[in-house]
Amino acid sequence: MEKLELTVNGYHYQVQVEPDETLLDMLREQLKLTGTKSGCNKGECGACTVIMNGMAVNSCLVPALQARHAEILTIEGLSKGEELHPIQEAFLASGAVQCGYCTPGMILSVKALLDNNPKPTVAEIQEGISGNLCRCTGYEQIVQAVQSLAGKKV
Amino acid sequence: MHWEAYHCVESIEEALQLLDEYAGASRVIAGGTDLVIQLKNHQRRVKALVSLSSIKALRYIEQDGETIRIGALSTHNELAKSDLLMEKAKALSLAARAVGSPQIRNIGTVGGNIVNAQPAADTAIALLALGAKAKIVSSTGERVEVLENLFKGIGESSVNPAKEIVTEFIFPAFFRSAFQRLALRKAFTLPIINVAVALLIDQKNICREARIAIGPVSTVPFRAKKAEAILNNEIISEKKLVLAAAEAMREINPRDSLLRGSAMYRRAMVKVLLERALRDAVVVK
Amino acid sequence: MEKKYWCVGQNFRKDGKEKVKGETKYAGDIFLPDMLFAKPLLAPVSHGRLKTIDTSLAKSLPGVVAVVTAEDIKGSNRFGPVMQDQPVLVGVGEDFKFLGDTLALVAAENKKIAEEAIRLIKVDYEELPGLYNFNEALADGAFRLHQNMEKNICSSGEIVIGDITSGFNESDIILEEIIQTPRQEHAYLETEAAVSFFDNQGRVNLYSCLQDPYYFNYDIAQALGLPANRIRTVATTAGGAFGGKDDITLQAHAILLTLVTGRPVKMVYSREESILIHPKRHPSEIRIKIGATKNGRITAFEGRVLIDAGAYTGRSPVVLTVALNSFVGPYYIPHIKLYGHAVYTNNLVAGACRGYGQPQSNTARELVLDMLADRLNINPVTLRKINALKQGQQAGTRLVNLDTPPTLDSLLDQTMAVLEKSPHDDTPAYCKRGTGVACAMPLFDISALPSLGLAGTGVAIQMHPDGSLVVYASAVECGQGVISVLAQIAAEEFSVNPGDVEVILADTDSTPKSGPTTASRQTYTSGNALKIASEHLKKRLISFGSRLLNVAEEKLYFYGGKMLVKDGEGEVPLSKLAKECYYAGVNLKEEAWFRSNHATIGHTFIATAADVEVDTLTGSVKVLKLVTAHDIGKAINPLAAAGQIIGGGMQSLGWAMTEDLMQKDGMVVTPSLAEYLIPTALDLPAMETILMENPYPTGPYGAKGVGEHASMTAAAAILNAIYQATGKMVTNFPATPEKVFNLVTGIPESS
Repeated sequence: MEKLELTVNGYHYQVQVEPDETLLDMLREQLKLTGTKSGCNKGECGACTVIMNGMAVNSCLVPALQARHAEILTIEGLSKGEELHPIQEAFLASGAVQCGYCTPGMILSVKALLDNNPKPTVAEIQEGISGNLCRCTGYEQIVQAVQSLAGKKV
Repeated sequence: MHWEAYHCVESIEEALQLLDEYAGASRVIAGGTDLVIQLKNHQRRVKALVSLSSIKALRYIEQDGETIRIGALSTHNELAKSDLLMEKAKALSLAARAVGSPQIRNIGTVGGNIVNAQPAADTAIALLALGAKAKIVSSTGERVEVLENLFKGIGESSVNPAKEIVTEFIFPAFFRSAFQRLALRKAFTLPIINVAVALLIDQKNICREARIAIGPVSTVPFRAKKAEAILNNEIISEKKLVLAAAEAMREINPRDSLLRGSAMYRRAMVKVLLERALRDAVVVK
Repeated sequence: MEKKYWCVGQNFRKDGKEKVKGETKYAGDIFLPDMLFAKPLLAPVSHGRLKTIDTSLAKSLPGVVAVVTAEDIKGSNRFGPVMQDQPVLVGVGEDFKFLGDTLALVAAENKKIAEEAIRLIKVDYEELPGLYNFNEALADGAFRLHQNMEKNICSSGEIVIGDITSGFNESDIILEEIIQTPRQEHAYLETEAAVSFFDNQGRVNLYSCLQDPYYFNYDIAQALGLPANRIRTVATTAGGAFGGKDDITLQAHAILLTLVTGRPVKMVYSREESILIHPKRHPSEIRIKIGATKNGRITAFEGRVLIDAGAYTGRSPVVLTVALNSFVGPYYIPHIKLYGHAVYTNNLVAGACRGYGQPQSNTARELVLDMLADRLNINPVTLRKINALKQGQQAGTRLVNLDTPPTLDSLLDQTMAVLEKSPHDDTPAYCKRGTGVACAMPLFDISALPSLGLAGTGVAIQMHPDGSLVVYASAVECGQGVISVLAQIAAEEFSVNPGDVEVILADTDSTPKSGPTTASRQTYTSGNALKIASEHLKKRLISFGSRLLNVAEEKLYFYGGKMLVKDGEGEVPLSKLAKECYYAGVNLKEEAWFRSNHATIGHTFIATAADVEVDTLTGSVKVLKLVTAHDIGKAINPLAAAGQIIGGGMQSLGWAMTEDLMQKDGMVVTPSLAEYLIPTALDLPAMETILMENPYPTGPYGAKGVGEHASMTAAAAILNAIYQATGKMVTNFPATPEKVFNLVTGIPESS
């Protein structure tokens, strides 16, 4: 076991991890932040997406120790108390949520996209979420949700 | 257990020292987007990993006179977003955009993509066409290799990740280049065929140098030298481009693949994609 | 005249806030103290005899708590919804019949140890020859996969209406085609997961993503040798299901390990395990012979459907029945002969998958219709209109009576009108554009089929003493929005805020049996049952209220959280009314049972059109636009209904274009999501959805089923669009670039 210090959703954590533990397993099994989902464990689906130092990454491919001193944002850190984040509001308003399993990773990919590109075109939106598979919605209502946010502060 | 120790280092020196201490039992990891999967699948085994991701000094994309230098730890996303590459090395820019997904491109590195030595690696195809050389360091010194020399077989590189680190790729800034790719899905998948071309065309429209790379048609990224010969020192014309593409189709030897398609089809696609890439490279300056 | 509703017809997502916040607990998110992690050992090859199994090394690994084999099972060790022929664990001396058969299980202190222990189990087996396609399985002298069956035919079906010979005699033109459809993987993002543990009464509790808690409960109980009341099954919120979670997989294993160890057990499939184990959409081979007059009137339709059941019976007999009963679809054809077989092979088990056999037979028919239109030189839309069913005509199935006027013509017109607005931007010279259309008459609540006996649906509603409402139903929330729709229906009935209605789903200890959450049925069946229960409860409240307010019952109604008197003479808030009932000892819980009428099975109409661009030099196809018009009856929740149509359309697009869970001599060519390619956001065409509201007489507020229907037309519309663009039909989709390239360049397909 090795000591790992990092910041998750604004909180500082010090945890003991196995050298080969992934960031995904650490978040889910140690911190019990189960909003981050496991869908394939091999970077093929995007369900485990979190934002690490400002960038969307597949937490199943990141060794936990690689996140030393990193700033991690998971879905649990997006809203403030009862108040939903505008992306979360937009997803609800547009019908972009069905089973909800891809939703946390999808929302974080959208956040990373909009942080870098506040007014994406439809093609840029599709590109930005192309690493997040969704089997329920067919993406259309997700794209609409992101379009509704264009130019707004997220 | 997949691996017993994971070290994040801040410098190349520190990395090389650790590699030496493990005496072959450790290996370098960069973005890890391929290696972590291979280790999870038990396709590779290793005792310790030495992570280079914190070495900021190896993340740069810059022009140095007639040469472009790329730090080996530059991510695919950094390559894809570089205006310099879009202008001077379009093939590499487009290839980097085609890799994996946004999440993969955020952490996967160009150095890792090369050392992973897959015959379809998009950036390998582009860098091969661009005539890149790789700078490789170890505790015993430094060597510079042309890219071709790095690929030994599927997943097999001549860079020894238990001892060596690729630090930089260097290639000329003067090529007109292009990249084409055909895949089953519009994103987030490996190519059926990918091709990159780099042409040096002088003011008389004579092709001074042509370089053509194709994947996955061999155990390593493939250089179509016979096709290049058709263009070299010739006036560029549509007819020549078509002839070169046809020649490339003859000199490759792809295999039938249930996933990627029959050899016959992929041979035909090499011709189509090469024609498109060559036309694109000729038009673009 | 449009009826005014309180909240029916509005968009509402009861489970949305928790989902966007990542707070929804799926089965894999449950952590219990002292919990063990389990892993399965799967069959090493597709067909073989298990000679010995040595678990000693695995058992000796520190951290391993149990390694179990078939010997540890006290019950029948067999499960299955139609025939109990699938083993929970394959025993020594028995044959494993496909790659998803499980031979042993490990429970350990953590998943890494469990994975390591699996690799330490030594299996000695004799590999047996396998049957991997229809020809091999149906050949004379082929070995039998199931000794109690005469051949490798799992089930057969036939429908004959009219006289097929005279039908062909009346025709001017006869066309015969064979369409092959690929095996489709559901690819829900959540792989199967289960948690089991003992409660204080020593009963096993199962929390798992599954589509029918009562079925799982009783079938697992008998397989493991327990009375059904010793198991409590709770269906957790599912991360997608689409039929793939309608059959038992790891649930029996988790319970078995809890029985053996006494400890809580969690089991979660890896993506690769999920792909091998749960039943798939049946690959099919469909032969159609169709006869028509010169002016486009179809006189005869003869069709044979072969579906690959895989190694066990599963739901194949029902899937075949539904495929045949929807084969002729929304057309009137006087003479039909339909027959087919579900065939056992050593391939992956097939079962329920969004549409239940209907996508296969409907797609095949729609492709052949376009080829017929071409031969007749009639516009494909016109051909469909000429043959569209009219009220009073006999459909191609005796299960359907046209109780409402068919709407196909109107749907086709609306679809084509929207499609034609699609801008024709600059298409390169080497690309060809084409538009295609496809129609269907989807059947819903097919579990109302008399043969299934699962038709009944129970739902209960309770009013608490403060007037707040709780609905109890065994429907499963798998993304489709049933929890929202049930809240809306209760809120509509009592005129309260749907957000204030609580809905308890899918718990065999507390919710009535509602049958499976499949077959596009829960809005229709649970919705109807909830309406009936609500009416009973309202009646009781009104009776009590009439005494309380001293007014006639007929004068009382519910509005805005109150019971009001017509003409404004007094009111009582539900909170007060319920409290009075509480003290007066009035029962405020009502349970109702709804059973579909067997005289006619639920059905509706749908039309889809697609616009594609084909790169003739590479064979690459871009789907530019997909338009679907759906006769939905009444959209209780329009956004959720549209979501079903768009999502189903994209699954169908994947099936048409890239998805093929390919097997070669039993081996799986596409074992993970890196090879099995479902559409990404970049594969999304422009999408248009038209909801046509045409209230259905027996549906709640006129609602019909919707969940599966777009998966019956989108693939066909896309493939027909490729046909219109290139003049070539992809008769064995998915339409990979190579197949399209070979067709347009005239290269014969290699073997």
